[in-house]
Amino acid sequence: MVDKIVKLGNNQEFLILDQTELDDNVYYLGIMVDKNEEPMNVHMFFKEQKKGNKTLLVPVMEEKERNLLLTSFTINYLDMTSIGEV
Amino acid sequence: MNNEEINVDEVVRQYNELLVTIDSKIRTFNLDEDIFDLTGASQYVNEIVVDYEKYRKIVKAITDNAEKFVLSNLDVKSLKNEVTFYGDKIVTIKKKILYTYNLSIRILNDRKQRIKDKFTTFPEDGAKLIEELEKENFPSRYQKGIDSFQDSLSGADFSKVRDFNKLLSLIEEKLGNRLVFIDEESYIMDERIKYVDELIKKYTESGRPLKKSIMMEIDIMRERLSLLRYQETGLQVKINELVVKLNNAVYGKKKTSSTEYTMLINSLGSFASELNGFNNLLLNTKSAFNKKVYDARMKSFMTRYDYFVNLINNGISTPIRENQEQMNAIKNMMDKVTDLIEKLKSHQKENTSQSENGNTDNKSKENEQGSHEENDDTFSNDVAEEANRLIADMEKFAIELDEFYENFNSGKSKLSNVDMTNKIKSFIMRLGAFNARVNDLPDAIKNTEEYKSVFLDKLELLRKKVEKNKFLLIQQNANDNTSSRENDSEPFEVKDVREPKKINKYYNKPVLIASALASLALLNTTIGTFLIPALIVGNIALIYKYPIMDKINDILGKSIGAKKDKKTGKWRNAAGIVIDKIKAIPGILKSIAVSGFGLPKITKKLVAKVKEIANMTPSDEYIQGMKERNQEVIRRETKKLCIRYIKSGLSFEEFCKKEMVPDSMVEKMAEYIQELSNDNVKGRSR
Repeated sequence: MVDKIVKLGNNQEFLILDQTELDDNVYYLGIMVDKNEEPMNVHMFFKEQKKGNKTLLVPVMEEKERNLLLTSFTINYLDMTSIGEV
Repeated sequence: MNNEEINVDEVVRQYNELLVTIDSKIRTFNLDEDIFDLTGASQYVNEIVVDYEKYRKIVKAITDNAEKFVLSNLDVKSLKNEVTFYGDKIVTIKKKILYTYNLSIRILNDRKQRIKDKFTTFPEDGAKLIEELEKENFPSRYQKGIDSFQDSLSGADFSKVRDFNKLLSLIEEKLGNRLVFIDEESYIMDERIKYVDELIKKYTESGRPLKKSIMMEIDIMRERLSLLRYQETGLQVKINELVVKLNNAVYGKKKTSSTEYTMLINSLGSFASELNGFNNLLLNTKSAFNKKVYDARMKSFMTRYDYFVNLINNGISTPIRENQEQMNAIKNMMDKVTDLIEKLKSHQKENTSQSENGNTDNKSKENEQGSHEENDDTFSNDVAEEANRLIADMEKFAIELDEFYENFNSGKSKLSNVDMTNKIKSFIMRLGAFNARVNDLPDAIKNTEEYKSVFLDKLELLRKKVEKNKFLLIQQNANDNTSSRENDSEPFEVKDVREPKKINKYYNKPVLIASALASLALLNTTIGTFLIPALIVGNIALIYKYPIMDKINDILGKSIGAKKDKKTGKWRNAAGIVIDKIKAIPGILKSIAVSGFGLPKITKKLVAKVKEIANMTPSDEYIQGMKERNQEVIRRETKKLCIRYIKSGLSFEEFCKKEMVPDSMVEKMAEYIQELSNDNVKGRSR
């Protein structure tokens, strides 16, 4: 899903910027985009859930979980911007 | 000013001098403080206006004779904007003064009438209070009038007061009425602000420009509202204090048991919480133990403690004594108070050796500065009282900030965006007021070494707490843009997944990620403190990969809702201020690198990374990477370089050498110039 735009059940669209795995769960970092695909001032962590064939995204609101994700995604980001990799 | 007579150096000197004067005068004008001294504030602003007029004339002379000032390092074009900028500031200040003046007169008249009405039973006290108010001639100074009244109560002969409850209710009613009045004012202003906000929204939606006067008016109202709320809190505290004092003054008088019991329990409760607050302060700032402050506060605590002991032993009426349940509650509360007093006393023992050691130093210092002895005498009385009050007020404010943060962060409480903005603004204003109070502390305190460790550190702590609360607002704005809080943790089905059509073309992915992480990290100051540097490191890395760093902070700013003032180039809102902070972080990182102790591992890693990146030099390899990744950016940069080259009047080789243009870029420039000349040839042939 990374680098893709996902349309959610509430019709909001998010560009998925990155993903990480913690305790066998998959998490995504998304930024909301408008109908012109312009990024908006809304950023979200999502947790992936599977229900049958459906994929669900759950916004992460719990503070400790968010802090963990911040650390994890920041480290990803640092790796990404390390010299020679971008 | 005649053209012939212009002495460029002299005009520039005058210009600089006046600019500095006006700018510093406007900046030092403190709305919180100066506005209360209406006459002083008006005189001060009139002085600024005189300087401003001189300055405006000089700027006009400069702009009219721009060619003479070419070499004077003045940006002649922007001078007019500068004049407008300062002119607007002065108008705003004047409006605020006028508004406050009108409001003060209205409040004063209303208060006078209410006090007259309420004090018919005790005309002398009422008259005295009115006299005080007449002297002060300003609403915030009511506080002093009340203080004075309070003082007169403590010295009054209450043997003639037959009905204590009647007196108490009169005073409570008098102060309560003030609260109601302030509350009414707050409500009216709240409504006005809501109305104007709606108006602004409609204007914005319709695309019509907003009138500057409307914006100013609403700013003034918001500030006035924050001030009223601040006064409201202060008055509530006053009422509680007054009740305790009154209780003290009429100690031993006959009271009805239920009022007496409630009052005693409440007084003990508030005393216990005050003791607890001071105890926590001492526990948290052990290294900054201030003996003078401690002694002054303990003296006041012990007086009150003795009063309670005496009251419970001798002054409680028979109906309460016979009520076992009430007596148990009183005793339990008193035990708690005694326990806290003992805890406070233990701090003295713990710090005795420390303060004794400190005394040796102090003595030698006092010998060096002979006048200190005198200051200390003053310090131990009125000054210590004010210092204690200030510390207590700051503690209360800190608790309020913590509670506010916890309630909103946990979702227990909710406020509309407008209310939240106002609340945060009121916090900022109150912080400003504390800042002024700390600054205004007399030299007797400022000259002590503990000034920094007690007052300044406490102020810094408050500033951090206010900052933390500011992030709640950013968080709320972000949440409001998505869905309601209740729905946030509900799962959303993924209906569609598709490739973006244009995002990657216009935005750098690392920049988007940095923006997203910065925005999310800002919501949590604790973790943000060391994660934001990480993002900065990433951005530093980007500088070396893409020569477009100027834009990155703008994009980062935009993504968290920062707004810039086009005229001044300064950030206009909280998010903008955050960006400034982010910009300052490399400096912070540097200092961390120098000190390098007690840091989270991640920060140490980051420091290493900064050092690693800082040692690198941009090379053709990076330019090559840039070329592959962002052709559009290259083209834009090439175009800019070419325009600069054409304007420079230099030969192509000279320009490239002077600007140190990398080889790969030179080729691009050559191609672009070739394209331009081809277009010109085509244009001419057409």
